[in-house]
Parts: sequence; structure tokens; C-alpha cells
Amino acid sequence: MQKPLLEIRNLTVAFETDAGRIVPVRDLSLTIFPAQTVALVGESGCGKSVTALSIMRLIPQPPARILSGQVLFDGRDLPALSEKQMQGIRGREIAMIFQEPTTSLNPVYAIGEQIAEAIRLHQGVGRRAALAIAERSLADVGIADPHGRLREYPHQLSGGMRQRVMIATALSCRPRLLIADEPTTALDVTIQAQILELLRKLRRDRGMAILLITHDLGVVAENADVVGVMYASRMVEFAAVEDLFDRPLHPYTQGLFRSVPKLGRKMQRLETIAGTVPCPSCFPSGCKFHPRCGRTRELCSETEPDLREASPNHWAACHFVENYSGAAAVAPMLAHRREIVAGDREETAA
Amino acid sequence: MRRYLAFRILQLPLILAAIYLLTFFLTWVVPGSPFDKDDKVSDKLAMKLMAQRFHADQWQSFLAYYPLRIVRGDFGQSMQYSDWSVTDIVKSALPISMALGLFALSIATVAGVGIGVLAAVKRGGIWDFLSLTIALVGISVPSFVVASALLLFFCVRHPWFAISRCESIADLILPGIALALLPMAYITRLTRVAMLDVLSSDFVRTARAKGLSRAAVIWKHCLKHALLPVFTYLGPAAAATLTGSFVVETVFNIPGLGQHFVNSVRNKDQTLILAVVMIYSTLLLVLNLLVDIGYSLLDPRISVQEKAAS
Amino acid sequence: MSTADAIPFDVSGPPARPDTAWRRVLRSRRVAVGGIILGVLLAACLLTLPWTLRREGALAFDGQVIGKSYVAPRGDAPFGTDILGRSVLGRCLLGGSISLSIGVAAAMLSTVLGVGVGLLAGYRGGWVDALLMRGVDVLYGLPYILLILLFKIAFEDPLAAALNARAANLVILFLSIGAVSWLTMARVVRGQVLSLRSQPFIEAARAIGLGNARIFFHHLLPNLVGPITVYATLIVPSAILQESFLSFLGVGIREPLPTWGALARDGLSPALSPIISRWWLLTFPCALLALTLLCLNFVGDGLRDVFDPKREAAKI
Repeated sequence: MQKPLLEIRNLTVAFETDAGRIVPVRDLSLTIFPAQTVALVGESGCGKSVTALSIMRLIPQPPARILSGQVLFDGRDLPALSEKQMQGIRGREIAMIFQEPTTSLNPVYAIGEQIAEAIRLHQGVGRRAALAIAERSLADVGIADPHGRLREYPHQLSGGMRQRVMIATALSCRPRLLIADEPTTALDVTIQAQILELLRKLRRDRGMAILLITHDLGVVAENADVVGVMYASRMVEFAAVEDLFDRPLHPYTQGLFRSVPKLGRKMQRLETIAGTVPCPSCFPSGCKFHPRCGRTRELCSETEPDLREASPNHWAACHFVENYSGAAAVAPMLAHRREIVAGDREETAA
Repeated sequence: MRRYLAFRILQLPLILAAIYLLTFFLTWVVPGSPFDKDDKVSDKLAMKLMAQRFHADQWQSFLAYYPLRIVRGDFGQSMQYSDWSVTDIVKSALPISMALGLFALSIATVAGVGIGVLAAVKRGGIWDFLSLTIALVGISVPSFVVASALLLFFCVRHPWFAISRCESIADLILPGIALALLPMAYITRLTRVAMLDVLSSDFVRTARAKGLSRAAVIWKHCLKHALLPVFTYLGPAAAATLTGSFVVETVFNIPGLGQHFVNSVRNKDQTLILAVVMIYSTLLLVLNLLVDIGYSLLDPRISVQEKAAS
Repeated sequence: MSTADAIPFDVSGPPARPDTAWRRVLRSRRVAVGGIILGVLLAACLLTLPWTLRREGALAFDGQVIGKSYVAPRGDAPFGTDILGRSVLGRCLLGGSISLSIGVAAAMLSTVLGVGVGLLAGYRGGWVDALLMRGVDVLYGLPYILLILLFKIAFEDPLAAALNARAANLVILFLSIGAVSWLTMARVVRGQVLSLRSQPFIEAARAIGLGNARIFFHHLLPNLVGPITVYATLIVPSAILQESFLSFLGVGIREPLPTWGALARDGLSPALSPIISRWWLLTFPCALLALTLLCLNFVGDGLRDVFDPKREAAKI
């Protein structure tokens, strides 16, 4: 039995604002094993980014506070570490890439310098050696003429290339876990595909685990091994990807899958999930999804369901788990996934 | 970029010529030429010498010949000090004023940036309060009030510093502080705002994610951004320092060019007025040009043309 | 009972009262505090004019009393007296009136000039704009005092020939200060005009056939009123500061009329005298000057925060 690389246990994060206390992440549990890709899916505002930033402790501690729970990385509880110890982990053991590559790079420094900065910090080498390593990182992420690029500035690169630079920076110190917060949302679709393929390749080559945060189910299908679905600050479903796509158990997940447009079939209207996501300061009582749920009953508005193992290795937070009848909708995604996985296996064998 | 630079450098003599004409017009023509006025203030002999040397029978020919003389470094005779040529006065007074001005600007920049950064980083602390106070006081309280207060307190009540001595750097401390307060107020404000802006940037988050300490992030990544607006402010800062120097030199009795200029205005010493205006204008215009060039070098995103167009 | 009742998903509905800019102005603490203190000062200076603008009397600005030279502050001379026995309080009050009126007059002149230049540059565009703005850039780099002094040198004597010397002195002061303080206003107005010109609502107005004049007065001008008010308010302390500088240097107001700057100049040596320090001659004018400028800047800043919310971050 492998030991988990990252284990989040019942994490609750609160923000103290002038308008009162907001809890963007409540009682969240998540496990990532080495070399595994775990996707964290959910709509905007469900708490995915806050979770990621809390792992890295990048949210300033006022106004944010980790109220309870543990974040165990290799057995060490990250929130309990000192700031200095945390700095040793950031960039080296756990690295993070962000959604907006344009603003995530400092415009007044050359990209070589910015990659080398992390290398010098964690590997203690001199400037020239660091730049050499940086050059190799750039080559690893598929940037042509890496030596020339070292001296260029962020505004001279395209969006896709900037994201590659971010990945190069993140990976330059060979972290064991990469947190990718919507890495392709701001990019064109074709570039998106390239970047995700790059991430898959790097993961294979280095045995790195990835926490992939996204709202795109297609991306999840193609890249993740395990999926966690978040809604309104809670984890509502957690399962292996094939299992989830085959038999989603939580009404929210089922709603998400139902809303996927079915190509090749005549449709009058797109399906939606009625209602809107509640804002953190006005969460409903009981199950947070119950106002929008098609099969809500009295228990749902009273008690919040815990994340329970509804079937082997498939957790769902619902009182009345039911089977899903629309598997056909996401079948194309699954099929595509199987192609990709097969393709990757060939590459590894080659 | 080079074309824009050449354009700016070419503009310089044109602007100076315009300033010269304007100044000449305002000091010589409008009040009446001193050569045909019976004014008790100017020395008859000096005027005669000037009239001869500068073809000053008509102010028009005077206008034409004077610049030739200036370019050669001869500013002519001072109207109020008959023994002194303007060139001598300038030579003795300008270095003092420049030393004071540079000293004040250095204090303003170093202290201003330091306090501004600390105020932005440690929000709500004592540094924030200090930056607020300095900004308010510097902008609202005139420099002669500050200068007088400093003088009153440090020279009269508790004589730690000597008055109107100008031999060493120590003598420049009090006037330097008085002069620095206004630019420091603006610099503190600018730095604080810029830092606050930068601190919430995405690339700061990236730097932290790489494992950099808070201090490294501030000094390495943010400072450059915060300094850019301060750098642009150097032009107006120099102008403000210059203005303030008139008053501060008067209060502390420092024999700088500022004090001479004020006296020359009071006594209608036209040659000295013209000389000082031209010197100061040249200095400030050159400084502004250097700042513009420097800014485009500091910020790789902007070519000088883009900035000019904005 | 539907759970939707418990969840305020939709916080719609019109606000109780429109939150106009002027309401926010009245709510701003800075404007309130600064405004009240200014009001008190202004009232004190102006209401005492009948007493201060005399040559004899307890508060007269020129009431020389031989026996009362250099009296320290006490009952019958609240701010003390100067070397000629004149009441410092009276001189400060009149000085305040004069300083404030010069400041306001100069600000009005600057506003007219600045708005004019800004409108011209913004509306015309092209080379007119380029030339005007380059001129503004150059003038920005030069110290105000130089320009003011040059103006003064040039025009004071000729003007004195037309009016009497004292009137000429006052007029030339506010004219020369006003003539150099319009730069920022011009830039701001130009910026506003440029940004407004390209707004869709102007295009729409043109599309329905509105003429230039109507567009200008009905659409552009109301949007300019805010920034103009703010910057006009901020010119006043700057003008008062310039005047106090000039008077302090001896090239401003003429004796025996007082302004705060002139009083400070007169008080400098007696206050700094190592034998007996006559501090009241320096302290009161300087304190009043500093207080007035502080309040004016407060009010101006407060107005600016209201009219330019992007600058909220710049609030200090």
C-alpha cells in the first residue's frame, strides 16, 4: 500500500472580513498519491483556489485562518510549520502554477532571471549555473531556442509560451507535487491541448503528482486519475475518473454531466442546473445543494450530508445517492480519455 | 527611440531660446531698459560698460548680442554689485546651492522611499502613521515655517547647530531637512501607493510560491515597480527643491544662488535675474530629459515613444 | 415553505436614496473637519474686517502704539504686539483676509485659464493639442516662483503707473500667481475631454443629430464639473503658499499691508534673537498659515476621493 503524498483531512479555512466570517472551504478531505493526477472540479467560487493556496499557505494569515484540519505532506502537517520551513517547501517540494500567465510573471525582469531565482534559492548554485539549469528547463517544456529566450521579457512572449515559462519555473527544482490552478483557462484551445499534453509528459518522466484545478470536464476526463467535485465550500464527490464519469452519484455531478452539450444529437435547449451558486455569506442550511436539487427531501434542508463511501472507493456527500441514467452524455469524453491514456502508454513504452 | 531622443535634444535649445526671449522681454523690455532709465539702484559706470560691450543702444541689438556673450560664459556686470560680474557671483554661489539641493533630494528620496515601503508593507502600524504625518506636514506647511521652526528649536533654544555657517556638511543638515520635507512628502505618498498596488500583483504570488521570503519579494520584485513613479517625479521634485531653496537659503542665511536671486529681484538687477533664470532653466530641462531617458531604460515594457504618446 | 425564502439570493431593489457625489462629499469626514475649521477661520477674518482695516484701534492692522512695543501675549494683546506696538492678532486677521482673497482670486483666474487651455487642447486635438501640451510640459519643469517673479518684475511698475501702488501690488500678485497655477487643471480637463469624446454616449448624441454646442453644454460640461471643482479647490492652498513665499522673501505684498507670509518674515529675526526671543511674532502667523493650508488640502483631498473613486487606494 503506497503512502499518500498529500493528505488533506477535514480542512476548514475562514476569512474574517468586515462583513463577518466567511468560510470558503469547509471540512475538506482529499488524498493524492505519488505520480497521481487529482482533479479538483467546481464552479467559480466553490473554494478550489482557496484550497490550493491554503496548501501552500499563500493566503495571508490575517484575514484568512485555518480553523481546523490538517494538511499532511509526506506526513508533515504544513499549517504547523514555521514560515521559514514553509519557504523551504514552496518551489522545491510543492510548486504551483497559476491561471493568468500574463500577470504572474514580473514584467521588469527577464524570464531567465525569474526561473533562475527559484533555482538559486533552493539549490544554492551560482547565477551562471542557475541560468544553465533554467535553459534546460525551458528546453524541457518545449521552448525553441532556450538560450536566446533567457534574456527576453515576459511581454515579448505569447500567452502559451508564458505558461510554459511558468511551468518551467515551477518544475526547475523537481517538486514532487505540482498544483496547477486552472492552468489553461486563459489560453486558446489548441494551446490548451499542448500545455496539458506537456504536463502529462512531464508527469510521466518525473513521477510527479499533480493537483489539477479546473472547471472544464473535458480537461478532467483527459488528464485526471482521480476527481474531486466541490460545491459551495465542500467536497461533494470523490472517485476515480472512470468511475465518476460512468456512475456519478451526487446530484450536482449528475447535473454537471447533464449540462454537457450532446454533439450529434438534436437538442432544443441546453440543460442547466436551476438556480445559482450561493455566495459564501448566505449558504443555505443543511445540504448546500438542496435548493437546486431535483430530488430534495426534508432531511436535506436539516442535516448536511457527510462524505461517505457510497460504493468502493467512491465517496459522495448525499443522503439519497441514486444512480444516474445519462452516461451516454459523457461517453465521448471517456472514449477520448481512453485514447489518450493508450497513446501515453505507447509513448512511455517507446 | 533614437529618433525621439534626437527630437528631444533638438528641442532643448529651442525651448531655452523661448525662455530667454520671454525672460528678456519681461525683465528688460516691459519695465523699460535700464540704460535709458534714471534708476538710483544701478551703477552708472557699470551700465556704461555694459552698454558698450553689448551694443545696448537699442534693446533689440542687445537682445541679439547678449546670448553670444552668455554662451561664452560672460554674463555681464551685476547691476547691484558694481564690483562683481555676474559670472563671479554665479561661480561662487551655484556650487553651494547645488550641494544643498542634492543633499535635500537625497534625504527626500532615501527617507521617502524607506518610509513609503514600510508604510505599505506594515499596514496600520507606526510607519503608516509616520508616512501620513510627513505627507500632510510636507505638503501643507510651507518650507519657511519648517525652516524657522528648526532654526528656532535647534539653534536658538538648544544651540546644537551654528547659524549661517557654511563650511561643512553638518551645516547643511538643518537646511537640508527643511528643504527635503516637501519632496519627501510626495515621494512617501507615491512609494506607498505604488507598493500597495504591486503587493497585490499576481507575480508577487508567483514569487512567494517559489519559496521566496517576504523581505526578498519586497526588495527584489516590488521595489523596482515602486521606484518608477518616484523616478518620474524627480523632475518636479528638482523644481520644488529649487523653489524651496530661495526661502531656505534666506532663513538660514546661506550664500547660495537662491538668495542672490531673491535679492536681485528686489533690487531689479536684470543681468543677474536673466543669468539665474537661464541657468536654472537649463539645469531643469536637462534633468527632465535625463529622467525621461532613464525611465525608458528602467522599464523594459515601454519605449520612449509609447510613453510620449500616452 | 420553500427554502428559497431563507436564502437571499437576490439582493435587488433600488437604494433608499440616490448616492450622489454631493451626498458623499457631505459624508466625508475630511471635508467636514477641514470645512468647519476653514469656515471658522474665514468667518473670523472677514467678520473682523471693520476693525482690522483701520489705522487706529485695538485690532487695527496699522495701529501703532508707542508704549506697547514687543508685548508678549496677554489679556489686552492676545497675540502680542510687534515692534511698532501693532496688535499681532489684528494683523493676523487682516493678513488672513488678504491671503485668502489673493488665493481665491488666483485660483479663479487659474481655473479659467486651465479649463480654457484644457478644452482647446482636448477638443481640437492634432497639432494644437501637441503644442499646448508640450508647452505645459515645459512649464511644469520650471519652478513657479521664477515665473511669478518674472511676471511681477515685468508688470508691476507699469501697472503702478495706471493704478495706485498698493492696488497694483495686490492685483499683480494674484494675476502672476494665477498665471502660472493653471497647468494641472489644463492637464486634467484635457484628459477628461479626451476620454469623454470617445465615449459611446457622445457618438449616440451626435447620431441623433445634436449640434456641437448642445453636446458640449449638455453632455460634456456636466461631466467636467466634478474634476474642475476638485482641482480648483486644490489650487487655492497652492496659491496661498506661493503668495506666502513671495511675501516672506520680501517680494510679495507691500508694507504696511500684512499677509501671513509677510508677518512671518517680519517676525523671523525678532523671534530668533538669542537675547530675547519674541516667539509670538513668528508662531501665530506660521500656525495660522499651516492650519489653513492643511484644512484646504484636507477638503481638496476629500473632494478628490469622492469624485475619483479609483484613487481610493491613494488615500493617505
